[in-house]
Amino acid sequence: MRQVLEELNETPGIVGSLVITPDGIMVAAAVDDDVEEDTVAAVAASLLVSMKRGLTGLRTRSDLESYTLAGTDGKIVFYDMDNSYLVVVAEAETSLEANAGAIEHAIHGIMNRRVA
Amino acid sequence: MLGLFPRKLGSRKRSRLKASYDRYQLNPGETESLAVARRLLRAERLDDAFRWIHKARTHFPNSEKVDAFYRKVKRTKARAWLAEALERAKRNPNSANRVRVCELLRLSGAWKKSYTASRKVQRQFPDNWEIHFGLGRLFFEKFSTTRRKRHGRTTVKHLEKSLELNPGEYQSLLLLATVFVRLGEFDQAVDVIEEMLEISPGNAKATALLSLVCKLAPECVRNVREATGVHGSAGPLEHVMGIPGAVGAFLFDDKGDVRDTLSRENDTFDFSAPAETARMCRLETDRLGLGELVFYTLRGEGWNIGYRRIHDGSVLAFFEGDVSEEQIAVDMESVLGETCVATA
Repeated sequence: MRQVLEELNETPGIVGSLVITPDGIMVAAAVDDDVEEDTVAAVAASLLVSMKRGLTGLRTRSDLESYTLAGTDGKIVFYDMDNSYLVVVAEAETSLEANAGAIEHAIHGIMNRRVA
Repeated sequence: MLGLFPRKLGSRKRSRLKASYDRYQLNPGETESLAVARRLLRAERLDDAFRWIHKARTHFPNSEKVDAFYRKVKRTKARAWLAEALERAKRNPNSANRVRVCELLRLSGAWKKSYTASRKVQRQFPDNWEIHFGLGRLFFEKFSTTRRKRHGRTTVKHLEKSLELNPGEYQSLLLLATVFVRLGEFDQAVDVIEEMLEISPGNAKATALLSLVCKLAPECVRNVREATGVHGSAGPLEHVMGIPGAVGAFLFDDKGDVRDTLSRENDTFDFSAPAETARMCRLETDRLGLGELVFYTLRGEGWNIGYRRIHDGSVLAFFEGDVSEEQIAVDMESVLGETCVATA
């Protein structure tokens, strides 16, 4: 799984990636030393709970698939992989839409690997 | 900053560009922003220079220097494409290639050359809507500079001809509505906006123009506002509700409390939980080392939620339809314009 994440990190603008469980436990990570993996995992889980709660009043017709948090110094995107999340850390101006292929490829690689 | 300092740039240009960028990071002011744009242009990184100065325009909307440099970059870009377009028109002098040359001449600042070339094309292809649209744009540019009514009337004449040949063309309608607003002919402007909203319900630019007419001549817009189905108060939320697919929006103050809400079809949303999420995201973004929160988006199948900081609060909007998260972020920044916080 780490290899898939490292391949994903070679995409321009992506600086790190992790796989976490919905309750905030880190499964695998390929990030720089300055990214605190455990903090990201814990914060992601608490945000996820809050966001899901926030959706109840908005009558959404389907479940949350991804969420993006963008700050002045970078952005972080969480992709739902059924029972885990792929977390991608990127530079602030990176277009993750342009890298959608690489991300989908990574999700496919991780999910297939887990099944196998 | 992604890809701003590629190695192929050469060490000297690269280090100067980096120094300008570092100065901008320390003090993100107008002068520093312009310095980065100038360095990018000198390094012949036209697309990056354009993107940078385009963003600077939203951060410094009243800066004449930024506006002038934006026009300069646009002209430089047009000149870079002109030689290629001329060559193509020479090889294949069809209407599309020749109209493209006229357009690039206009964009590169050669108004007279563009006008002469456009007239020639018009004589040869009198029923081509694009050439009338091009002439409309030319006179719109002149009208914007001179503010003379006769230039505005000529713009209207060409745009109406363009619409006669190609009814319902969005850009022609948008320009025509803008000219009518500038000419103070609000009833005609409302008619055109109404047509735009029929073609594209909730269109952001049409709604923004409608808001402007609403301020200048409120008696002209009452019926259209009712027809668009937008209810509630005016302001940033009305602009956000103009984005295609928007069904509800909340405005939070800088403490995170809900200040205003707007929804289509008089729907009411429970906004207490999104408000709490927004508050949490603001805190956690910094904790994650991402700096200050600029925006967040949530996406599911057929829906999106976009949240964006503005200078004295934030806006959260709910969208239906298959639009990408990045498109939502771009649309929200575009319609909230100068009210957005600096993101560079």
